[in-house]
Amino acid sequence: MGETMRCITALLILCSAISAQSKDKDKDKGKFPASYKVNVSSSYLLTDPDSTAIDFDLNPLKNGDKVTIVMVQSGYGKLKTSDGKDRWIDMQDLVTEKEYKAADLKAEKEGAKAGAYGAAKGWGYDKKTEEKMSKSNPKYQEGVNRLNAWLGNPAEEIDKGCANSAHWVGIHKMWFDKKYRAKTVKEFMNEGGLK
Amino acid sequence: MKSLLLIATCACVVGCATSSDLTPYEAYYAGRATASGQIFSTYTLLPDVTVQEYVNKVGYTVAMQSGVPTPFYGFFFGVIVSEEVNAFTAPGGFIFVTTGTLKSCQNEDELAYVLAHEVAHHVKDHPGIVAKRAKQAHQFQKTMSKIGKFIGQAAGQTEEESKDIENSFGAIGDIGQEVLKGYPLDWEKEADVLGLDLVARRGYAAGSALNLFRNLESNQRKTTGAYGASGDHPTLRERRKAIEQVIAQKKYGGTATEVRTKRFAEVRARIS
Repeated sequence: MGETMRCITALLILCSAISAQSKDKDKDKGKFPASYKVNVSSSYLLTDPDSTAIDFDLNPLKNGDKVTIVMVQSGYGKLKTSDGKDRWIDMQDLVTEKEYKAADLKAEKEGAKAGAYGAAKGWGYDKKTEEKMSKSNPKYQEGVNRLNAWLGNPAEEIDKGCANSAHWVGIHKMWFDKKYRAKTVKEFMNEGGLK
Repeated sequence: MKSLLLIATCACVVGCATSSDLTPYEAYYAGRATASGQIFSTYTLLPDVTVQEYVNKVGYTVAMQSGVPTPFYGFFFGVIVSEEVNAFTAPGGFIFVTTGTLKSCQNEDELAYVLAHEVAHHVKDHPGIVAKRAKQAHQFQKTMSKIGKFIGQAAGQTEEESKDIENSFGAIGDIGQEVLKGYPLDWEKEADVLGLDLVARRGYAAGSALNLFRNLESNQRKTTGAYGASGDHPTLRERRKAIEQVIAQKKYGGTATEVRTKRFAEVRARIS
Protein backbone atom coordinates (compact mmCIF):
# COMPACT_ATOMS: atom_id res chain seq x y z
CA MET A 1 0.00 0.00 0.00
CA GLY A 2 2.80 2.31 1.07
CA GLU A 3 4.66 1.51 -2.12
CA THR A 4 1.59 2.37 -4.19
CA MET A 5 1.36 5.75 -2.46
CA ARG A 6 5.05 6.39 -3.17
CA CYS A 7 4.47 5.52 -6.83
CA ILE A 8 1.50 7.90 -7.04
CA THR A 9 3.49 10.68 -5.38
CA ALA A 10 6.41 10.14 -7.77
CA LEU A 11 4.02 10.23 -10.68
CA LEU A 12 2.45 13.47 -9.44
CA ILE A 13 5.87 15.08 -9.06
CA LEU A 14 6.81 13.99 -12.57
CA CYS A 15 3.55 15.40 -13.98
CA SER A 16 4.01 18.75 -12.26
CA ALA A 17 7.63 18.92 -13.54
CA ILE A 18 6.45 18.30 -17.11
CA SER A 19 3.67 20.86 -16.69
CA ALA A 20 6.15 23.48 -15.38
CA GLN A 21 8.43 22.79 -18.32
CA SER A 22 5.64 23.27 -20.83
CA LYS A 23 4.60 26.49 -19.06
CA ASP A 24 8.17 27.76 -19.47
CA LYS A 25 7.97 26.87 -23.13
CA ASP A 26 4.77 28.94 -23.49
CA LYS A 27 6.44 31.76 -21.64
CA ASP A 28 9.30 31.72 -24.17
CA LYS A 29 6.75 31.90 -26.94
CA GLY A 30 5.44 35.14 -25.48
CA LYS A 31 8.82 36.86 -25.33
CA PHE A 32 9.08 39.85 -27.64
CA PRO A 33 10.48 41.18 -29.95
CA ALA A 34 9.74 38.08 -32.02
CA SER A 35 9.76 37.50 -35.72
CA TYR A 36 6.69 36.30 -37.63
CA LYS A 37 5.46 35.90 -41.18
CA VAL A 38 2.31 37.72 -42.24
CA ASN A 39 -0.36 35.45 -43.57
CA VAL A 40 -2.91 36.49 -46.14
CA SER A 41 -5.50 37.72 -43.67
CA SER A 42 -3.12 40.45 -42.53
CA SER A 43 -4.98 43.03 -44.59
CA TYR A 44 -7.11 43.33 -41.46
CA LEU A 45 -4.36 45.33 -39.89
CA LEU A 46 -5.58 47.75 -37.32
CA THR A 47 -4.19 51.23 -37.28
CA ASP A 48 -3.55 53.06 -34.08
CA PRO A 49 -5.11 56.49 -33.53
CA ASP A 50 -1.95 58.27 -34.68
CA SER A 51 -1.68 56.59 -38.03
CA THR A 52 -4.45 57.01 -40.55
CA ALA A 53 -5.66 54.51 -43.09
CA ILE A 54 -4.12 56.67 -45.80
CA ASP A 55 -0.70 56.05 -44.24
CA PHE A 56 -1.49 52.38 -44.26
CA ASP A 57 -2.51 52.50 -47.90
CA LEU A 58 0.83 54.05 -48.77
CA ASN A 59 2.74 51.47 -46.81
CA PRO A 60 0.81 48.22 -46.68
CA LEU A 61 2.03 44.87 -45.45
CA LYS A 62 1.90 42.03 -47.89
CA ASN A 63 1.24 38.37 -47.44
CA GLY A 64 4.52 36.71 -46.55
CA ASP A 65 6.16 39.86 -45.17
CA LYS A 66 8.36 39.32 -42.18
CA VAL A 67 7.37 41.45 -39.19
CA THR A 68 8.87 41.98 -35.79
CA ILE A 69 6.44 42.26 -32.92
CA VAL A 70 7.71 44.39 -30.08
CA MET A 71 4.89 43.80 -27.63
CA VAL A 72 1.50 42.12 -27.36
CA GLN A 73 -1.62 43.52 -25.78
CA SER A 74 -5.09 41.91 -25.74
CA GLY A 75 -4.21 39.64 -28.63
CA TYR A 76 -2.82 42.43 -30.79
CA GLY A 77 0.86 42.72 -31.59
CA LYS A 78 2.58 46.08 -31.90
CA LEU A 79 4.99 46.41 -34.78
CA LYS A 80 7.11 49.18 -36.19
CA THR A 81 7.00 49.79 -39.92
CA SER A 82 9.74 51.25 -42.08
CA ASP A 83 8.21 54.74 -41.84
CA GLY A 84 8.81 54.61 -38.08
CA LYS A 85 5.12 54.40 -37.15
CA ASP A 86 3.57 51.96 -34.71
CA ARG A 87 0.85 49.67 -35.96
CA TRP A 88 -1.17 46.92 -34.36
CA ILE A 89 -1.84 43.57 -35.90
CA ASP A 90 -4.12 40.77 -34.78
CA MET A 91 -1.72 38.08 -33.59
CA GLN A 92 -4.02 35.50 -35.19
CA ASP A 93 -3.06 36.97 -38.56
CA LEU A 94 0.53 35.95 -38.01
CA VAL A 95 2.17 32.61 -38.43
CA THR A 96 5.69 31.36 -37.93
CA GLU A 97 7.89 31.00 -40.99
CA LYS A 98 7.46 27.22 -40.82
CA GLU A 99 3.66 27.45 -40.62
CA TYR A 100 3.60 29.98 -43.44
CA LYS A 101 5.63 27.73 -45.73
CA ALA A 102 3.41 24.74 -44.95
CA ALA A 103 0.19 26.70 -45.61
CA ASP A 104 1.55 28.23 -48.79
CA LEU A 105 2.70 24.87 -50.08
CA LYS A 106 -0.66 23.32 -49.31
CA ALA A 107 -2.45 26.20 -51.07
CA GLU A 108 -0.23 25.74 -54.10
CA LYS A 109 -0.97 22.03 -54.18
CA GLU A 110 -4.67 22.84 -54.13
CA GLY A 111 -4.09 24.89 -57.26
CA ALA A 112 -4.90 28.21 -55.67
CA LYS A 113 -2.26 30.88 -55.94
CA ALA A 114 -2.12 34.37 -54.40
CA GLY A 115 -1.28 32.78 -51.04
CA ALA A 116 -4.71 31.24 -50.83
CA TYR A 117 -4.40 30.16 -47.26
CA GLY A 118 -8.18 30.00 -46.94
CA ALA A 119 -8.61 27.78 -49.99
CA ALA A 120 -6.23 25.28 -48.49
CA LYS A 121 -8.56 25.00 -45.53
CA GLY A 122 -11.22 23.72 -47.89
CA TRP A 123 -13.82 26.47 -47.74
CA GLY A 124 -14.79 26.92 -51.32
CA TYR A 125 -15.09 30.67 -51.74
CA ASP A 126 -12.22 30.62 -54.20
CA LYS A 127 -11.27 30.85 -57.84
CA LYS A 128 -11.63 27.12 -58.39
CA THR A 129 -15.23 27.15 -57.12
CA GLU A 130 -16.03 30.19 -59.25
CA GLU A 131 -14.76 28.36 -62.34
CA LYS A 132 -16.79 25.25 -61.50
CA MET A 133 -19.94 27.30 -60.93
CA SER A 134 -19.41 29.21 -64.18
CA LYS A 135 -19.08 25.98 -66.14
CA SER A 136 -22.26 24.55 -64.72
CA ASN A 137 -24.44 27.62 -65.14
CA PRO A 138 -24.35 29.94 -68.21
CA LYS A 139 -26.27 32.66 -66.35
CA TYR A 140 -23.68 32.68 -63.59
CA GLN A 141 -20.92 32.75 -66.22
CA GLU A 142 -22.58 35.84 -67.71
CA GLY A 143 -22.55 37.48 -64.27
CA VAL A 144 -18.85 36.69 -63.85
CA ASN A 145 -18.12 38.15 -67.30
CA ARG A 146 -19.98 41.33 -66.41
CA LEU A 147 -18.16 41.51 -63.10
CA ASN A 148 -14.78 41.08 -64.78
CA ALA A 149 -15.65 43.71 -67.37
CA TRP A 150 -16.49 46.10 -64.53
CA LEU A 151 -13.35 45.30 -62.59
CA GLY A 152 -11.31 45.87 -65.73
CA ASN A 153 -9.80 42.44 -66.00
CA PRO A 154 -10.00 39.00 -64.47
CA ALA A 155 -8.95 38.69 -60.86
CA GLU A 156 -5.66 36.99 -61.59
CA GLU A 157 -4.58 39.98 -63.66
CA ILE A 158 -5.36 42.55 -61.00
CA ASP A 159 -1.97 42.41 -59.34
CA LYS A 160 -0.22 43.09 -62.63
CA GLY A 161 -1.99 46.43 -62.90
CA CYS A 162 -5.06 46.96 -64.98
CA ALA A 163 -6.85 49.62 -67.00
CA ASN A 164 -7.48 47.78 -70.23
CA SER A 165 -10.70 49.67 -70.62
CA ALA A 166 -9.80 53.24 -71.50
CA HIS A 167 -12.84 55.09 -70.21
CA TRP A 168 -12.72 53.37 -66.81
CA VAL A 169 -9.03 54.11 -66.39
CA GLY A 170 -9.48 56.65 -63.56
CA ILE A 171 -11.65 54.36 -61.49
CA HIS A 172 -9.45 51.31 -62.05
CA LYS A 173 -6.39 53.33 -61.15
CA MET A 174 -8.08 54.45 -57.96
CA TRP A 175 -9.01 50.87 -57.07
CA PHE A 176 -5.68 49.24 -57.71
CA ASP A 177 -3.01 51.94 -57.42
CA LYS A 178 -2.91 52.69 -53.72
CA LYS A 179 -0.64 55.73 -54.00
CA TYR A 180 -2.80 57.25 -56.71
CA ARG A 181 -5.90 56.53 -54.62
CA ALA A 182 -4.47 58.18 -51.52
CA LYS A 183 -3.49 61.26 -53.56
CA THR A 184 -6.82 61.50 -55.42
CA VAL A 185 -8.94 61.07 -52.30
CA LYS A 186 -6.84 63.60 -50.40
CA GLU A 187 -7.35 66.17 -53.18
CA PHE A 188 -11.07 65.41 -53.24
CA MET A 189 -11.26 65.89 -49.47
CA ASN A 190 -9.30 69.14 -49.52
CA GLU A 191 -11.53 70.53 -52.25
CA GLY A 192 -14.63 69.68 -50.22
CA GLY A 193 -13.28 71.07 -46.95
CA LEU A 194 -13.02 67.64 -45.33
CA LYS A 195 -10.36 66.39 -42.95
CA MET B 1 -37.38 6.49 -32.67
CA LYS B 2 -36.44 7.40 -36.21
CA SER B 3 -36.98 11.06 -35.37
CA LEU B 4 -34.89 10.75 -32.24
CA LEU B 5 -32.08 9.20 -34.19
CA LEU B 6 -32.33 11.95 -36.77
CA ILE B 7 -32.35 14.70 -34.17
CA ALA B 8 -29.36 13.17 -32.43
CA THR B 9 -27.48 12.99 -35.70
CA CYS B 10 -28.40 16.59 -36.57
CA ALA B 11 -27.22 17.80 -33.17
CA CYS B 12 -23.92 16.01 -33.66
CA VAL B 13 -23.34 17.55 -37.09
CA VAL B 14 -24.26 21.07 -35.95
CA GLY B 15 -22.04 20.68 -32.93
CA CYS B 16 -19.18 19.56 -35.11
CA ALA B 17 -19.55 22.43 -37.62
CA THR B 18 -16.39 24.50 -37.98
CA SER B 19 -16.62 28.23 -37.38
CA SER B 20 -13.31 29.65 -38.60
CA ASP B 21 -13.49 33.17 -40.02
CA LEU B 22 -13.28 33.87 -43.72
CA THR B 23 -9.90 35.12 -44.84
CA PRO B 24 -9.90 38.28 -47.01
CA TYR B 25 -9.18 36.02 -50.01
CA GLU B 26 -12.31 33.98 -49.30
CA ALA B 27 -14.34 37.11 -48.58
CA TYR B 28 -13.24 38.51 -51.95
CA TYR B 29 -14.44 35.40 -53.77
CA ALA B 30 -17.65 35.29 -51.73
CA GLY B 31 -18.19 38.91 -52.81
CA ARG B 32 -17.52 37.98 -56.44
CA ALA B 33 -20.03 35.15 -56.16
CA THR B 34 -22.66 37.51 -54.71
CA ALA B 35 -22.00 40.13 -57.39
CA SER B 36 -21.96 37.62 -60.27
CA GLY B 37 -24.83 35.44 -59.16
CA GLN B 38 -27.21 37.97 -57.67
CA ILE B 39 -26.39 41.60 -58.40
CA PHE B 40 -25.24 41.45 -62.03
CA SER B 41 -27.99 39.00 -62.91
CA THR B 42 -30.59 41.54 -61.76
CA TYR B 43 -29.06 44.98 -62.21
CA THR B 44 -26.87 46.77 -64.74
CA LEU B 45 -24.12 49.22 -63.94
CA LEU B 46 -24.73 52.86 -64.73
CA PRO B 47 -22.62 53.51 -67.86
CA ASP B 48 -21.53 56.96 -66.69
CA VAL B 49 -17.90 57.08 -65.62
CA THR B 50 -18.19 60.57 -64.08
CA VAL B 51 -20.91 59.41 -61.69
CA GLN B 52 -19.09 56.15 -60.91
CA GLU B 53 -15.81 57.96 -60.23
CA TYR B 54 -17.49 60.52 -57.99
CA VAL B 55 -19.24 57.84 -55.94
CA ASN B 56 -15.93 55.98 -55.56
CA LYS B 57 -14.24 59.15 -54.33
CA VAL B 58 -16.95 59.78 -51.73
CA GLY B 59 -16.89 56.10 -50.80
CA TYR B 60 -13.14 55.99 -50.31
CA THR B 61 -13.26 59.26 -48.36
CA VAL B 62 -15.32 57.56 -45.66
CA ALA B 63 -13.77 54.09 -46.08
CA MET B 64 -10.26 55.39 -45.43
CA GLN B 65 -11.55 56.82 -42.16
CA SER B 66 -12.94 53.49 -41.02
CA GLY B 67 -9.87 52.36 -39.10
CA VAL B 68 -10.02 49.09 -40.99
CA PRO B 69 -7.80 49.14 -44.05
CA THR B 70 -9.02 48.14 -47.46
CA PRO B 71 -10.08 44.54 -48.04
CA PHE B 72 -8.11 42.00 -50.09
CA TYR B 73 -8.25 43.90 -53.41
CA GLY B 74 -9.78 47.11 -52.08
CA PHE B 75 -13.30 48.55 -52.02
CA PHE B 76 -15.29 48.58 -55.23
CA PHE B 77 -18.13 51.10 -55.24
CA GLY B 78 -20.59 50.65 -58.08
CA VAL B 79 -23.70 52.59 -59.11
CA ILE B 80 -26.42 50.35 -60.50
CA VAL B 81 -29.48 51.38 -62.44
CA SER B 82 -32.65 51.04 -60.39
CA GLU B 83 -35.37 53.36 -59.12
CA GLU B 84 -35.38 51.47 -55.82
CA VAL B 85 -33.77 53.28 -52.92
CA ASN B 86 -31.22 50.74 -51.85
CA ALA B 87 -27.55 50.12 -51.23
CA PHE B 88 -25.83 46.92 -50.25
CA THR B 89 -22.51 45.49 -49.20
CA ALA B 90 -21.32 42.12 -50.40
CA PRO B 91 -18.32 40.43 -48.76
CA GLY B 92 -14.86 41.47 -49.88
CA GLY B 93 -15.56 45.20 -50.15
CA PHE B 94 -18.12 45.21 -52.98
CA ILE B 95 -20.53 48.08 -52.31
CA PHE B 96 -23.43 48.94 -54.61
CA VAL B 97 -25.76 51.91 -54.57
CA THR B 98 -28.78 52.46 -56.83
CA THR B 99 -29.47 55.50 -58.98
CA GLY B 100 -32.72 55.80 -56.99
CA THR B 101 -30.66 56.35 -53.85
CA LEU B 102 -28.55 59.04 -55.54
CA LYS B 103 -31.76 60.79 -56.56
CA SER B 104 -33.06 60.59 -52.99
CA CYS B 105 -29.99 62.31 -51.58
CA GLN B 106 -30.08 66.09 -51.39
CA ASN B 107 -26.33 66.62 -51.09
CA GLU B 108 -22.93 64.92 -50.90
CA ASP B 109 -23.16 64.65 -47.12
CA GLU B 110 -26.26 62.46 -47.38
CA LEU B 111 -24.61 60.25 -49.99
CA ALA B 112 -21.51 60.03 -47.78
CA TYR B 113 -23.73 58.77 -44.98
CA VAL B 114 -25.30 56.10 -47.21
CA LEU B 115 -21.86 54.86 -48.22
CA ALA B 116 -20.52 55.14 -44.66
CA HIS B 117 -23.40 52.95 -43.51
CA GLU B 118 -22.35 50.30 -46.04
CA VAL B 119 -18.67 50.63 -45.10
CA ALA B 120 -19.75 50.19 -41.46
CA HIS B 121 -21.26 46.81 -42.38
CA HIS B 122 -17.86 45.88 -43.72
CA VAL B 123 -16.09 47.15 -40.59
CA LYS B 124 -18.39 44.96 -38.48
CA ASP B 125 -17.77 42.08 -40.90
CA HIS B 126 -21.51 41.56 -41.39
CA PRO B 127 -21.13 40.36 -45.02
CA GLY B 128 -18.38 37.96 -43.92
CA ILE B 129 -20.57 36.51 -41.19
CA VAL B 130 -23.44 36.05 -43.65
CA ALA B 131 -21.15 34.38 -46.18
CA LYS B 132 -19.78 32.09 -43.52
CA ARG B 133 -23.25 31.14 -42.34
CA ALA B 134 -24.46 30.53 -45.89
CA LYS B 135 -21.49 28.29 -46.50
CA GLN B 136 -22.09 26.38 -43.28
CA ALA B 137 -25.77 26.00 -44.09
CA HIS B 138 -24.86 24.64 -47.50
CA GLN B 139 -22.38 22.17 -46.07
CA PHE B 140 -24.95 21.20 -43.45
CA GLN B 141 -27.56 20.64 -46.16
CA LYS B 142 -25.19 18.39 -48.08
CA THR B 143 -24.30 16.38 -45.01
CA MET B 144 -27.91 16.09 -43.93
CA SER B 145 -28.93 14.96 -47.37
CA LYS B 146 -26.44 12.11 -47.18
CA ILE B 147 -27.50 11.19 -43.63
CA GLY B 148 -31.17 11.42 -44.59
CA LYS B 149 -30.64 8.94 -47.38
CA PHE B 150 -28.74 6.61 -45.10
CA ILE B 151 -31.34 6.73 -42.30
CA GLY B 152 -34.19 6.39 -44.77
CA GLN B 153 -32.67 3.29 -46.26
CA ALA B 154 -31.76 1.82 -42.88
CA ALA B 155 -35.29 2.38 -41.56
CA GLY B 156 -36.85 0.83 -44.62
CA GLN B 157 -38.33 4.10 -45.92
CA THR B 158 -39.42 4.43 -49.50
CA GLU B 159 -37.33 6.51 -51.89
CA GLU B 160 -40.04 9.19 -51.83
CA GLU B 161 -39.85 9.52 -48.05
CA SER B 162 -36.09 9.79 -48.27
CA LYS B 163 -36.55 12.53 -50.85
CA ASP B 164 -38.79 14.45 -48.42
CA ILE B 165 -36.03 14.42 -45.82
CA GLU B 166 -33.55 15.58 -48.44
CA ASN B 167 -35.90 18.42 -49.40
CA SER B 168 -36.25 19.51 -45.79
CA PHE B 169 -32.51 19.70 -45.51
CA GLY B 170 -32.39 21.50 -48.84
CA ALA B 171 -34.64 24.16 -47.33
CA ILE B 172 -32.06 24.72 -44.59
CA GLY B 173 -29.52 25.45 -47.31
CA ASP B 174 -31.91 27.86 -49.00
CA ILE B 175 -32.33 29.80 -45.76
CA GLY B 176 -28.58 30.27 -45.76
CA GLN B 177 -28.73 31.62 -49.30
CA GLU B 178 -31.66 33.86 -48.36
CA VAL B 179 -29.60 35.59 -45.68
CA LEU B 180 -27.48 37.17 -48.42
CA LYS B 181 -30.42 39.32 -49.47
CA GLY B 182 -30.60 41.46 -46.36
CA TYR B 183 -29.15 42.05 -42.92
CA PRO B 184 -31.03 41.82 -39.63
CA LEU B 185 -32.42 45.04 -38.17
CA ASP B 186 -29.96 45.14 -35.27
CA TRP B 187 -27.05 45.03 -37.74
CA GLU B 188 -28.63 47.89 -39.68
CA LYS B 189 -28.91 49.91 -36.48
CA GLU B 190 -25.30 49.15 -35.65
CA ALA B 191 -24.21 50.33 -39.11
CA ASP B 192 -26.38 53.46 -38.75
CA VAL B 193 -24.47 54.54 -35.65
CA LEU B 194 -21.01 53.63 -36.91
CA GLY B 195 -21.79 55.33 -40.24
CA LEU B 196 -22.56 58.54 -38.36
CA ASP B 197 -19.20 58.36 -36.64
CA LEU B 198 -17.38 57.82 -39.94
CA VAL B 199 -18.93 60.84 -41.66
CA ALA B 200 -18.60 63.08 -38.61
CA ARG B 201 -14.90 62.30 -38.20
CA ARG B 202 -14.35 63.17 -41.87
CA GLY B 203 -16.04 66.54 -41.45
CA TYR B 204 -19.31 65.78 -43.20
CA ALA B 205 -22.47 67.12 -41.59
CA ALA B 206 -23.75 64.10 -39.67
CA GLY B 207 -27.15 65.76 -39.32
CA SER B 208 -27.68 65.12 -43.05
CA ALA B 209 -28.45 61.53 -42.13
CA LEU B 210 -31.63 62.75 -40.44
CA ASN B 211 -32.80 64.53 -43.61
CA LEU B 212 -32.11 61.37 -45.55
CA PHE B 213 -34.22 59.27 -43.19
CA ARG B 214 -37.06 61.82 -43.21
CA ASN B 215 -37.10 61.75 -47.02
CA LEU B 216 -37.09 57.96 -47.02
CA GLU B 217 -39.97 57.88 -44.59
CA SER B 218 -42.06 60.07 -46.86
CA ASN B 219 -41.16 57.95 -49.90
CA GLN B 220 -41.51 54.65 -48.11
CA ARG B 221 -42.98 52.71 -50.99
CA LYS B 222 -39.79 52.90 -53.06
CA THR B 223 -37.42 51.93 -50.30
CA THR B 224 -36.11 48.39 -50.09
CA GLY B 225 -33.32 46.41 -48.44
CA ALA B 226 -31.32 48.40 -45.90
CA TYR B 227 -33.64 51.39 -46.15
CA GLY B 228 -36.87 49.46 -46.25
CA ALA B 229 -35.64 46.92 -43.71
CA SER B 230 -38.82 45.19 -42.64
CA GLY B 231 -40.67 47.44 -45.04
CA ASP B 232 -42.66 49.54 -42.62
CA HIS B 233 -42.69 53.09 -41.35
CA PRO B 234 -42.02 52.33 -37.69
CA THR B 235 -38.71 50.67 -38.61
CA LEU B 236 -37.38 53.72 -40.42
CA ARG B 237 -38.80 56.01 -37.76
CA GLU B 238 -37.20 53.90 -35.04
CA ARG B 239 -33.84 54.06 -36.77
CA ARG B 240 -34.13 57.82 -37.32
CA LYS B 241 -34.95 58.37 -33.66
CA ALA B 242 -31.96 56.27 -32.63
CA ILE B 243 -29.51 58.27 -34.73
CA GLU B 244 -31.18 61.52 -33.61
CA GLN B 245 -30.22 60.57 -30.06
CA VAL B 246 -26.65 59.75 -31.05
CA ILE B 247 -26.26 63.07 -32.89
CA ALA B 248 -27.52 64.94 -29.83
CA GLN B 249 -25.39 62.92 -27.39
CA LYS B 250 -22.18 63.24 -29.38
CA LYS B 251 -22.95 66.81 -30.43
CA TYR B 252 -22.26 66.09 -34.07
CA GLY B 253 -22.49 69.29 -36.07
CA GLY B 254 -21.24 70.66 -39.38
CA THR B 255 -22.93 71.96 -42.49
CA ALA B 256 -22.58 70.96 -46.13
CA THR B 257 -20.14 73.29 -47.90
CA GLU B 258 -20.91 75.05 -51.16
CA VAL B 259 -18.28 73.07 -53.06
CA ARG B 260 -19.64 69.73 -51.90
CA THR B 261 -23.23 70.72 -52.65
CA LYS B 262 -22.27 71.99 -56.11
CA ARG B 263 -20.28 68.94 -57.15
CA PHE B 264 -23.04 66.64 -55.95
CA ALA B 265 -25.68 68.64 -57.87
CA GLU B 266 -23.60 68.32 -61.05
CA VAL B 267 -23.36 64.56 -60.69
CA ARG B 268 -27.01 64.15 -59.75
CA ALA B 269 -28.06 66.16 -62.80
CA ARG B 270 -26.46 63.48 -64.98
CA ILE B 271 -28.84 60.79 -63.77
CA SER B 272 -32.03 62.85 -63.54
